Amino acid sequence: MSNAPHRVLLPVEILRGQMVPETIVETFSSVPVVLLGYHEVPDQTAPSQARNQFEDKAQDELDDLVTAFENAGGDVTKRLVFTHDAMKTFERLAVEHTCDSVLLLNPAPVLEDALVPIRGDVNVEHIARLVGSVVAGTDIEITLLHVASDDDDGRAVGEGLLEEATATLEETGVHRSRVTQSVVVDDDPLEVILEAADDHDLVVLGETQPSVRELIFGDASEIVAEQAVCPVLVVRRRYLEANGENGSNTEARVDGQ
Amino acid sequence: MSEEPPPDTRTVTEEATKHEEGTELERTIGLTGGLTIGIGTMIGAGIFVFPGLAAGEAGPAAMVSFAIGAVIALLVAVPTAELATAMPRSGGGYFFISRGMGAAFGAIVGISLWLGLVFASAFYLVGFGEYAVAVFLEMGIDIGNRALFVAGLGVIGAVGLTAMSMGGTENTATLQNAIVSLLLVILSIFLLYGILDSVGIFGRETVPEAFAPEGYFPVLTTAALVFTSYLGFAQVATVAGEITDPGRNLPIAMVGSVVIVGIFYVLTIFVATSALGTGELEQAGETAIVEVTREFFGLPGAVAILIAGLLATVSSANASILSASRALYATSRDALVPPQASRVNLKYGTPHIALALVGGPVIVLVATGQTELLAEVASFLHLVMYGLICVALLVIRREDPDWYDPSFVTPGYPFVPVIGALSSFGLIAFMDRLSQAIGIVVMVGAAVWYFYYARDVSLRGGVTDV
Repeated sequence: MSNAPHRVLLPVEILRGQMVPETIVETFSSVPVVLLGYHEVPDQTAPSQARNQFEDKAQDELDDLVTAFENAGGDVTKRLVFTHDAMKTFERLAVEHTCDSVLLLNPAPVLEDALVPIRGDVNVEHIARLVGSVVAGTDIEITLLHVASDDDDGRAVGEGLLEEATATLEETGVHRSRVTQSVVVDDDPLEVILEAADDHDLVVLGETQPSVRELIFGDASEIVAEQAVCPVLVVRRRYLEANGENGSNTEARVDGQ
Repeated sequence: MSEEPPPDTRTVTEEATKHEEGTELERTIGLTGGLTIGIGTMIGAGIFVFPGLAAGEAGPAAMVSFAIGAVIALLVAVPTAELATAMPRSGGGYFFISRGMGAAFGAIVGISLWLGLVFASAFYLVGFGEYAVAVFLEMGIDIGNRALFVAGLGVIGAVGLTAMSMGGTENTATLQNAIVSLLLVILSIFLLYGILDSVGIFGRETVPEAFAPEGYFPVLTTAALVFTSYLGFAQVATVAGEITDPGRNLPIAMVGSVVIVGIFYVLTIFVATSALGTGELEQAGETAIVEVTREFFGLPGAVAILIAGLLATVSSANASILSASRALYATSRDALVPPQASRVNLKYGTPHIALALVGGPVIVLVATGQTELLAEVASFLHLVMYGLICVALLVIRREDPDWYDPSFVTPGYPFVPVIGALSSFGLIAFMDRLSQAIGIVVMVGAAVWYFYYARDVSLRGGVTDV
C-alpha cells in the first residue's frame, strides 16, 4: 500500500449559489483538497462565451472559498472550469491530480457522524485509511455498515470485513470507541444504505463496478449521492480494486480517446 | 471591451484550453461528435431535398455535380483543417480570416457567415415543410394550397427550434448523435439495395436515358445549386474550441464528413436516376427520394424515408442555427458587433439574444418558401468565405507568425489552397442572377456595417497587428 496522501476533489457549482458548508471546510482541512469551481453550460453556448461573461465573478467566488480552506489550515488547489459536461471535467481533474475521492456536496449543518458502507469486493484498507485521514483531528463518530445477503456465511464475512476496517482505522489513530460496526441482512443493500444515510451527516462510499443492473438503473454510488441529503464522499473505482495498486492506470480516462 | 488576450497566453491541451489566469474551458466534443456535426448539418440537404431538383436540371449527370461539389469542399476542407489545428477557437472561418487578413475582411465574413447560416437554416426548414406536407398527403389528408402549407409548417419548425435552443438545457448533442446514426443506417440499407437493384441483381429494368440530357452546362449550374449540401464541415470549425485532441480530431472530422456525405450523395443520385428516371424525379421535387424508396420497398420504405427526412432536415436546421449563434459570438467577442449580441442568459445558460438574431430572420426567410433561392444564397455566402479561408492560409503561411504552429499541414501546398480559392469563387459564377444579387447585397451591407460601426477595431492575435 502506498503512503501517498489521500486527495479529495471537491466540485462546487460556482455561480449557482452552491455553498460549501463550514463543517465540510473544517473537516476536510485535514487532507489535500482540489477545489473545482465549475460552471456547466448547455451545448448552445460556447464555454468561452460563458467565460467572457462570468469569469471575474466566478474567480472571486472561488477565491473566497480558497481563503476559507486556507484559514482552516487546509492544503487547497483551485481550478475553475467552464464545461458542457461536468462529469467529464470531474474525471479529468481527478485523474490529473490523482484524487482518490470526490466529495459531492449537500448541506451539512452539523458533522458529527459518518456512515461508511463496506462491500465485500473492495479494497477495505484503502477506504479505511481515507476515512482515517479525513476524520483526523475531529471527533466524528464512524458507523461501518455491511449489508449481507444471507444470515450464515454472509454475516460472518461481513463481520470480518468490518473488523479489518476497524483495525485499519485504529492504525490511523481513530480509537475503536468511535467506531460502530453494523451488519444487516437484507436483499436490497441500496435501500438499507439510503435509510442509514438519513441518520448520518456524511456518507463515504466506494464507486461501484458497473454491473448490468447498474448500467440500466444507474451507478449505486450515484443514486446514493443523488438521494442522500448529506454530503457523499465517493471513493474512485480504480483505487478500490481489492488487490489494486494505488494509481494503476487502467480506467484512467473514461471519456478519453 | 471583451477582447481576449492573444493566443500565447493560452495553453491548448487535448482535453481543455487553459487560460493564464487559471480558467479552463473543457473540451467535450470527441471525434464522433465532430463527425456528427459535419454529417448532420450536410446530409439533410443533399439526400432529402436536392436529388429531385438536381436530376431535373442535369439528368443522371447530377452525380457529377455532386462530385464537383465534393471536390471543391475537400479542396477547402483541407486548408480549413490546417488553420483550425493552429487556431482551435470558436468562430471557425471568421476567426481564421480575421486573423489572417484583418478586421475588415473579418467583419464582412463574420456577418456573411451569420446570414449565410440563416439562409441555410431557412432552406433546411423549407425542406422540413415539404416533408411534413408529404406526411399529411401520405395519410390521405387533403391540403389546399401546398406552397402555403410548406411555408407554414416550416415556420412552425423554425419557431420551435429557436425556442428550444433558447430555453433548452437538455443535452442536444446526444440527441443529434442518435439521429445521425439512425439516418446513416437507414440510408445505407436504402443505398445498398438500390445499388444492387440498379446493376441488375434483382433483374428489374433500369430506366434507360442519356447521361446528360441537357448538356454539360447544367451540370455546373447544378453543382452551384447543390453546393449547399457541403456546408457542414465549416460548422465543425465553428466549434473548434470545444473539440478534444483538436490536432487529430479536427482534420479527421472535417475531411471525413465531406468524404462520407459526398459518397452518399453520388450514390443516391445514381440509385435515384436508375430507379425512376429524371422526369419522375423532377416532378416529385424536394421529396423525390420518398418516391424512389417507394419504388423499392413500397409503403413501409416511403414511411421510413419520410421520417428520416423530417429528422434530417430538422437536425441540419438545428445545427446551422447553433453555428450561426457561434458566428455571432465570435464577431461580438472581437467587438465587430455589439457585445450584447452574445450575452449569455445566466438562468438558461444560453445566448438568447444571438439565438433570437438567428431565429428571427430564419422565420421570415422560411415564409418565402423559396428552396432553390435560399440554398444558393447560403452557398454564395459560404463560398466567398471558403475562398477567403484559402487566401487566409496563403497569407498566414507567407507571414509565418510565431504563434502559427498547425499540427496538420495541408498536402500539396500551395496548389490546394490556390485551386480551392479559384474553384470556390468560380462556382459562384454559375449561380442564378437573383441569388448572386442577394449575396452581393448582404456582403455590401456587412461592409457598410463595418465602416459604420467597427472601423477602428483592431484585432489581437493576428498577423495583421504584428
